[in-house]
Amino acid sequence: MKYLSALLLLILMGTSIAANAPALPGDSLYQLQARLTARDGSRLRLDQLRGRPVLISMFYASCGGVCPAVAFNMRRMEAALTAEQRQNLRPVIVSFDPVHDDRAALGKFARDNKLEDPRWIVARTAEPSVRELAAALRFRYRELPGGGFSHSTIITVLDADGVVRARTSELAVLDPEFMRVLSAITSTKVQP
Amino acid sequence: MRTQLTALLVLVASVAAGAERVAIGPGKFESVLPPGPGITSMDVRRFLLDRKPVTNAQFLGFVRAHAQWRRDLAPQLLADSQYLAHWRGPLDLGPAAGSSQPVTHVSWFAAKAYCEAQGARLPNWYEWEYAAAASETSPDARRDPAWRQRILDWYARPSTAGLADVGGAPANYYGVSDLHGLVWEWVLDYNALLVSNDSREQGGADRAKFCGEGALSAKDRENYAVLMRIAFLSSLEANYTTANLGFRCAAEAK
Repeated sequence: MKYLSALLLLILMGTSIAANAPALPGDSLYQLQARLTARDGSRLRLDQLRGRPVLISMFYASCGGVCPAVAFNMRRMEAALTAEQRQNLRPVIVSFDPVHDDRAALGKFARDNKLEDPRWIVARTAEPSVRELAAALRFRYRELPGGGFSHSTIITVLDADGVVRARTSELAVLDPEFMRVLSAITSTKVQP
Repeated sequence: MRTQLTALLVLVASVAAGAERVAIGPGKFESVLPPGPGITSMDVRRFLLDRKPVTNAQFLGFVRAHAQWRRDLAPQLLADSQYLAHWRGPLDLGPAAGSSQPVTHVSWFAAKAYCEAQGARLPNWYEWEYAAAASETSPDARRDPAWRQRILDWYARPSTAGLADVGGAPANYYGVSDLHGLVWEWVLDYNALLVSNDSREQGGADRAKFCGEGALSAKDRENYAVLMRIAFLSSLEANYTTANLGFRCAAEAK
């Protein structure tokens, strides 16, 4: 009986939790079942990013040129926001080279590219999540025989529910349309 | 009991599916999409490939066992609004979707999930291209003008006619059917073939940056059928579905 009531309680709790969280939109990135490991070793499910806008791209740590440029551009986008807007935004960059990018490699990439602010999530995820995440973000990468990758430079902004609101591959200047969306979406106060 | 029965049925189904898969390779071959500059020949490891594309009936079995892949339940992120649109209902093929016709209107995510549910995977591009280089009599018929022409003729046919049943055409050298002449097929690395710096550029093939510093092999540029396939696959996103795009599964050779 005791077990039964405990079980009943659990079921009720489960139901109320489910009822409190509005259903995830069908086109949310968080429909993917992916687990990230951050550079400090902490783990999170992709859908735990829900709740605030996210600026997201992908990289590989041994990348010499383009990936630092992507990271630099993400920082530049942040810098163009007000301090309050920045607090509403979660920047995330995920490795698509899980074979080589262990925690040490993630840490080095974060140091070298000034991504050590704790708001930043510099993470890796195992296959098959890498391929699925890249596919959902329309991020293309191809391993080259001599080592390294050819890859896209897409940076995406997600709303608080994980729905893609804008994408850009512009590296030379800040894409004005992208910045307009990023600014608007981070101006809305988020729940702490 | 029910769980055990389901597990048994899944086992029986996967054994049956396993019998429908043939071993191919290992071998050396020249892809129209060389892995890198100056590399013309590459090794394909031994792998297993389905003899035929996955059918509507087979895919219906999968959807019945995995309700999250019903067309009314699959999220838009994983399958667009035309997913399984040719079926009469979420669990009902209806007259427009023959049970032995290749399943189409499936996204990459859905195709991938189907193969994983069989303990398999989607073939990668090089495996697919390697298997598809074979005619009925030769493992590599790509220099045979008559064979090339036959394949090109398929692309020239209007796609308004209904799809034939799978396995209707003669099997190739390896015992695999329908690699050409029936539907386009998803591959695992559909999005790694032509890497463009910008997804918006995918529409304009001339602006796409072809696989890093490499380029399509000039040597084999007359292999239009395969080049067309690469261009088509590269234009897709993972949740896209079309009336002529299906798939088959592959697996590691034991």
